[in-house]
Amino acid sequence: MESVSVRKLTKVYAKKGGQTVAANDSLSFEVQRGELFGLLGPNGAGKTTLIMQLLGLIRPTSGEICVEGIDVVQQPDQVKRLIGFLPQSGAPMRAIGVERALRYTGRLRGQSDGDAGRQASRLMSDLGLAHAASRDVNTLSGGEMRLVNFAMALMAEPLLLVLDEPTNELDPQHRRVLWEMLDDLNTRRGVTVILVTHNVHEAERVIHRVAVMHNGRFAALGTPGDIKSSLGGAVRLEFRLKDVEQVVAADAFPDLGTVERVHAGEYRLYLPPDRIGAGVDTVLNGIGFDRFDDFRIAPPSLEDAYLALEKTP
Amino acid sequence: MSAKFFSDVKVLWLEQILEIRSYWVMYAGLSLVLPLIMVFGFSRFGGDMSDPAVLVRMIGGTMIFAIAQEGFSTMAVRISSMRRDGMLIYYASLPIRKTALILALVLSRALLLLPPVLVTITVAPLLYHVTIHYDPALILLLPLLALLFSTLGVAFGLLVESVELAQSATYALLFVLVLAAPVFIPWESLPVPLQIFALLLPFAYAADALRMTLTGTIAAPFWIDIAVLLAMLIASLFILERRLRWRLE
Repeated sequence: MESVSVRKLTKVYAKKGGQTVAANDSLSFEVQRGELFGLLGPNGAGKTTLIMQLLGLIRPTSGEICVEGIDVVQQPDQVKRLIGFLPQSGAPMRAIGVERALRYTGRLRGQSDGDAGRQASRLMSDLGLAHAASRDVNTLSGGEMRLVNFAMALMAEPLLLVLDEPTNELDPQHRRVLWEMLDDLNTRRGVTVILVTHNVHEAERVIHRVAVMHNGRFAALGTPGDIKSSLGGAVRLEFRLKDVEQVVAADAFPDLGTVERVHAGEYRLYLPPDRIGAGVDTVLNGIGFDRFDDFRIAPPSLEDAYLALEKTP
Repeated sequence: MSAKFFSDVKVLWLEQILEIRSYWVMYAGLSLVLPLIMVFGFSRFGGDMSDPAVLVRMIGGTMIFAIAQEGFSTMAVRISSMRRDGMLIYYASLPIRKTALILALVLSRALLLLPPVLVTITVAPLLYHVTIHYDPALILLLPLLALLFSTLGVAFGLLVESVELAQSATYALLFVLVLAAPVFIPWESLPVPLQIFALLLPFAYAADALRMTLTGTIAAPFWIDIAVLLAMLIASLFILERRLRWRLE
C-alpha cells in the first residue's frame, strides 16, 4: 500500500525578467507504507519545494500528489493530520517549557490533553530530555533543542514523518538516539519516513530507498545498493598524510585515475575491482609507507555514489 | 467554528502569553513612557491648553497612537520576523486554521495594549484638569480597536517582504497617523485629498468614536463608526483566512 504517491509533479516559479525556473520537473515516485525514504541532493536541487508540496503548503503547477490516498491539493487540512513535520529550522515554542511545547503540539495536532501529556512524558524519557521537562526550550543546547523539535514532530503519532535535516546540530550521542528511535518507529510501528539529509553516511544505515535530486529532477532513484552499483563496483581508496602540507597532484597516478583532495592532507581515488592490488602498490610505493597517517580501502558508500551523481552534468 | 478551533486558539494564546511573560513587565513599563510624553508635548503644540476639546482630542489621539504602535507596528514586525525565521511554515504544517493563530496572536498582544491606554485615560485628565467620561462604550470600543489594528498588523507583516521593510513602513504609517490623519489634527483642518484618504483608513472612525465616548456625546454617528470598524475587522480576518496562503511562495 502506498503512503505517498506523486505523479508528474511540476512546480514552476516565475523569475524577474519573465523567465521561469522549474524547481520540480515532472517528478513521479511512490513511498510505500512503512518505508524509510531518503531524499538527497545539493542545496537548490528542489528538495524543499517537494516537501512543501507534500505538506500542502505550496500548490503544484501541475501533477498529482497524494498522502494515504488523500489528494494533498484538494484536501490539505486532512493531510496535515497525518504528517509530523520537522523543519530544518524555525520551529516555534522556544520560550516555553519542553513538556509544554510537546503537550501543546499534541493538542494542536488533535490529541486530548491527557494523551498529549502521556506521550510527551514518554518521548522525553526515550530521548533523554526528562531532566529538562520544565526548562524553556531556548535555554537548552542546540542538540537538545533539535531533539525537542524532533519529539514535537512525533506528537499525535503521525502515520508519515517528514524530517528535514534531523541530525543538524546533534552530537554523536544524540544522533545515535535519534537514528535508533527512527529505526524503532519504522520497524515496530510501521511509520513511513521521508528523510531529507546531507548526512548521507549515517542515513545509509536506516533508509530503504533513496532519491537523489539534481536541478529539480531525480538523478537517481532506488535502493542504496542500486545507487551504489552506478559506480560499477569501484572501490574507494582513502589516505591521510602525516604532513598535511604535502600536496598530491590530481594526476599523480595517471594509470589509476584522478586523485581527489578531500581535506588538507587527505585524498581519495576510486579503483576498478580488477586494479585494486596494483593500485594499492602504486600509491604506497609512490608516496612512501612511512608518510601515511591513515590508509583505507572500502567498498563504495552511498555518499560516494551521491558525490559521483552530483558531479554528473 | 468547531470545538477544535477554540481549543487551538486557547493553546496558541497560552503559548504566546508564556512567550510574552519573560519581558512583559519591562515592555509594559516602557510602553507607558511614550503616551505620557505625547500627552504632555502634543497638548502644548496644540496651543490652547484651556480648550477641553483640544485636550480631549490629544488624549484620544494618544490612545489611538498607543494602540496603533503596539497593535499594528509591533504585530507587523512580529509576524514578519516569524515568517523570516520559518515559524509560519511550521504553524502552516499543523492541522489548524490560520484564523486560530491570528486570533491567538492578536488576543495575546491585546494585553500589552492595556497599560499605555489605561495610563493615558487616567493620568491625562489629572494633568490637565479636564473632565472625560468613562463611558461603558469604552469596553466595546477599545478591544475592537486593539483587535482591528493588530489584525491589520498581521496582514501587513505577511505582505511585506522583509522585517526591515516592515519596521520602516510602520514607522512611516505612525507619522501619517500623527501628521496627516484626523487623529490629532481636526478633520476640517485637513486638505480634501487627505480627508478622502482618511475615509479609507480606520483612524478617522476610531478618533471620532473615541472623541464621542470621552466627551459623553455618544449618538448615531458613534454606532456608524463602530459598524465601519467592525466591518473592517471582519473583512481583514476574512481576507487573511481566505486569500493569504501563509505567503510561502
